[in-house]
Amino acid sequence: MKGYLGIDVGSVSTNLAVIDEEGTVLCHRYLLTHGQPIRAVQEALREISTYLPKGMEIRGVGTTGSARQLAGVMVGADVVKNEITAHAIGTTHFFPHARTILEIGGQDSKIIIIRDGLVVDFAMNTVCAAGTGSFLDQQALRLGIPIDQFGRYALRSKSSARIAGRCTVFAESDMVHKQQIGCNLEDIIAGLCEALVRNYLNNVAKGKEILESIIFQGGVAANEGIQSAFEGELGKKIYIPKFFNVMGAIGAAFLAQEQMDGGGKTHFKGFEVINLHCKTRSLECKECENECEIVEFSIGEEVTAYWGDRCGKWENKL
Amino acid sequence: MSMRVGIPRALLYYRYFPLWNTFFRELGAQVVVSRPSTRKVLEEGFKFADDDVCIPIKMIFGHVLNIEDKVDYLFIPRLLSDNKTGYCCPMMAGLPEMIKYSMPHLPPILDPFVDERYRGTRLSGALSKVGRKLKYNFLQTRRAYSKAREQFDQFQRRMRDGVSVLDLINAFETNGCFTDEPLTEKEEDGSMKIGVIGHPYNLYDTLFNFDLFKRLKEANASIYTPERIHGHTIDHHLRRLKKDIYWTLGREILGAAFHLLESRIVDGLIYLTCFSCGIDSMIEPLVGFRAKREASPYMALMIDEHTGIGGFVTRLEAFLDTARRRKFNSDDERRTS
Amino acid sequence: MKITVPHCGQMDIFINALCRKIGPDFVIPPKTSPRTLDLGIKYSPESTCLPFKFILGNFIEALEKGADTICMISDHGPCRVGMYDIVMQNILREMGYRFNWITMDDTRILRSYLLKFDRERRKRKVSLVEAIRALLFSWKKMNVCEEMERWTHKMRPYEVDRGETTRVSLECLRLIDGVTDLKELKIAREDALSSLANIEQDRTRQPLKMVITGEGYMVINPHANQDIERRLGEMGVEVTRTMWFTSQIAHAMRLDLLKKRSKSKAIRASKRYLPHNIGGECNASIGYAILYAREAYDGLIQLLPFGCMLESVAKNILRIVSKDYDMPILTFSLAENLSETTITTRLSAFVDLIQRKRKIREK
Repeated sequence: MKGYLGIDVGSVSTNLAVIDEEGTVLCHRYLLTHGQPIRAVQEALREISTYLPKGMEIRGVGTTGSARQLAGVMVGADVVKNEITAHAIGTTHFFPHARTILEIGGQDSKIIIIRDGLVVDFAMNTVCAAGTGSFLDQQALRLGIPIDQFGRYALRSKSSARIAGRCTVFAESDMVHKQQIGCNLEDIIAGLCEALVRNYLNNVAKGKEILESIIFQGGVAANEGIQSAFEGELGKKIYIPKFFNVMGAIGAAFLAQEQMDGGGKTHFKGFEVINLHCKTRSLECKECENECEIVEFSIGEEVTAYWGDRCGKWENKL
Repeated sequence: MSMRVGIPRALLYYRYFPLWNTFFRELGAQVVVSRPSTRKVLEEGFKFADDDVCIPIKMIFGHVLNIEDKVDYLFIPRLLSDNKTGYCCPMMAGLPEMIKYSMPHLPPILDPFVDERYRGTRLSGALSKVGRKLKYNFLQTRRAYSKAREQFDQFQRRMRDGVSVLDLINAFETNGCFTDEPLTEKEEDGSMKIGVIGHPYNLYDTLFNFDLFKRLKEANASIYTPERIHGHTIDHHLRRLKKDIYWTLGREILGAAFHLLESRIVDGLIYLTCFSCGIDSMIEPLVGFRAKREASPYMALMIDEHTGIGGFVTRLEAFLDTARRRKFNSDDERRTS
Repeated sequence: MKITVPHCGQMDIFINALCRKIGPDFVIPPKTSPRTLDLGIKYSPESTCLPFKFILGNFIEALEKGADTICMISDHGPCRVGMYDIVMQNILREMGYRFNWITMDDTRILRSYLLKFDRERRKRKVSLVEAIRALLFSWKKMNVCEEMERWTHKMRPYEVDRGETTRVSLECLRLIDGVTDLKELKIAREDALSSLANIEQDRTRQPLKMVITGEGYMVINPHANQDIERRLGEMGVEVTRTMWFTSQIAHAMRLDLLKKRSKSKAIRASKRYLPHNIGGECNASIGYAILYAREAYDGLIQLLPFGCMLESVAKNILRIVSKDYDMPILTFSLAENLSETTITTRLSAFVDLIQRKRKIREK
């Protein structure tokens, strides 16, 4: 049996997925990066290695996410691609009629516009937290409500409280104010969900033509309150894929399949990677006045890769 | 059925409202001005305006949305230069396009091109083109313009006499013209004199100014704005700079600031600016440097999308305390010496 | 006199060549680094634009290095650059520095540049002939450097060994900077061209073609735009940019009216969307999008500093131009928080979407 592996390493979460030749998702994993991408990737690989059928051959590997290069060097990727392309490929496989992808992750959010199955436009927000999952996480913590219950609270609200503020700090003070004048928790949470959706639409999605089918994914998509707020704001149906929180990894797996389509041997180092002692070190190159910051990647005592240089001297050393 | 011309209450409305209003009214059109600014108007503007633009531009987007369904035409002049001393903010020169392309469902826009530096593109000619577009004849537009000009000149005289611009706006909107009664309040002896400078669309916008004028009056201070200062005085101070300050409002603000600081007419100076204003980003530091050199109480208040009223009031009160203390110390010194 | 100018593209090479021939001493500011930007941010008023901060940083570092005269271009609006001199002078004097300042008025090149230059020449007792020769030599040097840059744009997408084009071109520029007369320059140019031609290439690739336009400083300075030209080249894109010293000077002296894809042509083309020239590079940015779309370029990238009054207008209008001409346009509005991923992820997604579109079209 042959399959393709996709790995999405982001600042908040690390996801993995394996697809077979027909494009069926055989397994997937979602776990938190916790600032340690190498460990997260190894952990995720360990978990699925026991799950996959014996004799499964990985014919190609793709990596994506903000640490895609590190992950690629570590596992031996055949294709390393940005998250936008990966998400688009993954989503359009399940939703060929998708024309808008709304993605809200822990620390960033994206919108991807698709026409005739191709990405034609996109936008990303990586600076402002107001339209991302961390906005909700902070408030859930403050209110003492587990984030996975948030959606249910929101749906129970009969009339949401309007939380103003385009910034997490000001939204929070507005929320405190609403609590103190006696608004009930459900209405406040519903208001928070609406505030996030408003921020998302005014920020990342500004000026973009949102046409159906609209697919909502990313870690925050589990929150029914947000789904409802989007449908309320846009007046259109929102679909949430089954694999809403690992779509990047699935897309990377499809990209790997595409890449290996013409034949050839995969660069995948195998599941033994789980046990390897990988580490990175950064150093400043002094060979010219650019003083690039070089990342040195080693497995055990052996340095296996360098990157980060402008002139390619380091990258091509090995 | 007279046609309805909509004027957004934003940007240079606060400088040219007597002229624009009177012109269209004299032609026989019904003038619809958007409602005074509120938080909600601004938030509507956020939806369509780009992130890069300053808040006053976001505000005018909101005002356009406020009246779009109530008018047959929108009046958004394309202002490259409103005074032969220099340029307006370049975003005003491209404003009709920014609005048209961001909000395609609007009624037709009257966007006369105004460049006061050259004879062929002065305001009078630009407005008469508008008049002709609305199917009025040359004599009608000419008459309308000269009446409009009269009102505008009166407005400028009153401003220089020290009448508050906000009072003048109220008077004009209530009566449709300026009347002769003076609307100035008497300045009491010993009261504080505070200079308030900045673009008119920050100073007189009901949302942006946070009732600054009302609060200053409550604190028993009389107010000096750039409109109170004669063009000659401004020119005089700027000449000494030996540098061409090429923004018409920028030079007005700077010249006014220099005058108020140097002549020590005011006990303190407040510059009301907003986040991401290109012109203020260059002018305000120059005012700051001069205030420092003159050792005058000076405060720059920056409005941004998140400004909370609490912080504003605190800063204002602290500033007035400082200015008051300074003034009475120096008054004491003068009396005892 | 120890004169300094801000880092701006290859201008250093021009000034270096000129000053080596006829003086005065040229104090090159240290290469623009994160420290430069930090200094600029620390001492600039908060709302000033990004180029202001970089340039102030350059000046502070140059003054630290012993410069006593600052030379800077200026204009008469409506862009803020015309006010840089007076604001920076105030800041630097407050910091305690003492210096002279020479303003080169961009809009009056003949009067400002040439007459000031002549006055300095006479002060220094340099003969007119020497001065003209030095000017021509330095101008030719800069032309050669720009020629090198254009070649790297063309070649980089084909390089087999990542970074080789960059390595070779850096060497070439160093070589060219070192030559001291026209004969040496000719040889250096030929050497450079042949080393570039010797770079191992894979000519089976089919690079995309993109144009980079927008605010001048951001377009011409790799330290301000995250080295975007190199990154795009390494992603397999043949880039061209619309800001070159030679073309700016030619435009200012009205010598580019007939040239293909010139700034004058761009401004004319833009009138359909923005009927009046509002200043800066605004109309040009819009017009270039039209001109390059007509030549079937695959995409356009607009660069601007956050808050740029002129390019914000262009940014708005480019959305419509992109739709009307079916040309993808990606805009980067860059502020101080220039993190690497800000540009790389979006750039690679942009290149991807165009490559896929082309693949489908070919099928």
